[in-house]
Amino acid sequence: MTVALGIALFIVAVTTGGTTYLARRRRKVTMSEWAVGGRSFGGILLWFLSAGEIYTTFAFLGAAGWAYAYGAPGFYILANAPLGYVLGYWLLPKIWRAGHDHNVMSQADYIRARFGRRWLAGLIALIGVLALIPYVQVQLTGLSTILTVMFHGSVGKPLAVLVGALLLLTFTFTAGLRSSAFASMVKDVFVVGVVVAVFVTIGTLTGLGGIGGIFRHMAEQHPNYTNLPGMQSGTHYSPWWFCSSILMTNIGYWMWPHSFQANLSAKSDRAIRRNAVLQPIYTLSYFFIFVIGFAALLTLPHLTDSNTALVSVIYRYFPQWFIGIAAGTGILVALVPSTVMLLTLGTTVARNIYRPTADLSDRHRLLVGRLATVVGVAIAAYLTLGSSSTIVSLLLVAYSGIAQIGPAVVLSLIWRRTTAYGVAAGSLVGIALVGIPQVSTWWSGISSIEVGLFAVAVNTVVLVAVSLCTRAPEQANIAVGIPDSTLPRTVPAPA
Amino acid sequence: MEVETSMSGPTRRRHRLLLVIPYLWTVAAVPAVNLVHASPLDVPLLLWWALIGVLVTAGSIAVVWRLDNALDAPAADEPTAVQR
Repeated sequence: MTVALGIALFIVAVTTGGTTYLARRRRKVTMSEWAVGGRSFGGILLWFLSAGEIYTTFAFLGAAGWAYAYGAPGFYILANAPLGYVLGYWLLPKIWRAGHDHNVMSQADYIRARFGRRWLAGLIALIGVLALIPYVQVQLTGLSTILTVMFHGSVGKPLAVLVGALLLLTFTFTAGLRSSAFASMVKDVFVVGVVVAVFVTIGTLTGLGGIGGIFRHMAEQHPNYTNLPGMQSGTHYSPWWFCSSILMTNIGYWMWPHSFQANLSAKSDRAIRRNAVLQPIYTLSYFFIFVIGFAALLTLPHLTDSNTALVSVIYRYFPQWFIGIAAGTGILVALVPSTVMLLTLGTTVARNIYRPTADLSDRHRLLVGRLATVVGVAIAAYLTLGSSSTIVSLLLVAYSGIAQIGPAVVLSLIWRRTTAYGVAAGSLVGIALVGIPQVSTWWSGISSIEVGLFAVAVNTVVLVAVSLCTRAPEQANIAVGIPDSTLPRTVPAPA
Repeated sequence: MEVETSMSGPTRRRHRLLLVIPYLWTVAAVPAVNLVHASPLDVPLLLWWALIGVLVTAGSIAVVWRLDNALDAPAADEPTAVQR
């Protein structure tokens, strides 16, 4: 056990410490550097940065957990990132252009520039911060899962969650966005190495007889796992649920304040498009994760918590030194993307929610941002303690919240009549529909479609209706989202 | 007379409709695919479908990117020259 623990600690300490040092040596940290990396990320760095955000605890532990618990419903995860990049191919360059031309540093900055209303920027920022909390909860659940399995019962959940929260805060405060990109590279090398090593050897180590053997055993022992609604009877995981979850996560995909911000830090819109071609391929590695989840089910069928499936099967069948590497990797997988999320949470509160009109010093706002980060992590830790949800369900909750910003952002880029009151009314109605438990209960009696997607539909209708009844923003504001094609951005043709 | 240099030439961007293919494959087709109970090479058909969907999606984006690039070729040199 001490061997495994030593190796895990070594990996985490060297990666986080080393990357922080590397990033610090290059430049002094300013508010703008801390937030958007000086707007100078090139293609390769952006690729790793995005991968670090997308291949989170959700991919590593959540996907294995759902393969373990449900089977086919988990396959929806494969469509997530690729379709995200299809939407992103069209959406991201428009947002990047707005950021580039109008000195926009965050999602709330964009909303403010596009609609000319500070209160609306505050409202959208607040929705983003609220939706980030279950997302941070996903990471904390992952961290505490790894710690409890590693210490094999001698560490209880409260202590594991506390240690996880302290790890998150420490790394976030010592690192910025740029160092997180370095850490992301190290993390990706480790995570791909661990997943491939486990995938290749697990059939033999567990005695199930290779990858083919795992699938044959699944078909014999769990014949329902191949098709929806999956292994457990009485769930709502119908094909309609499957499709609606993909669409809901697709709408929310780029609405995360941190994804929005990472996109703003790209060097050019060309870099963003090229990234959209390369990034989806990464998703194929979910296949390995599913196979590991199936192997866990076949060998350890009585786990009390499906989130632990991947860690438990490694713990049971692999040598000490490998358990150490896997645990260290799992901790990095949760830490690195969280840094980006928490940095965004902090800057959003400091710039757009806390006294946005006051003329405060950079130092003052930095302090407020850090305080907000501590409070956010504390709330997420509290929620983690009282929750037994699967990681995938937690993420779907987070997405049903963040997707409510989707109609506003998309329409602001294509429909000139979109108004501030329309956006406010639509997103508030959407958030109310997903936030009130009675609505979810009522809706689940009607349809297996995700309530978040239903809320997006109502949100859109309200947004359009209210926009038609209220006054459109000023011409200069509209031009932030929809550049005026008759004025700039054109060059005279040679006579 | 003026010439558009940015992304807004509507008539020349028809190929962007190719981006609908991934949605048809990975979303619209799922209820039908789920009706089939088959596991080629022991791997469930739905899993095959989703995995191939990743390649279909990446391929669609790559084709659109190439066509976009061909259209932007003269303009694309400018920003690289400026940035350095």
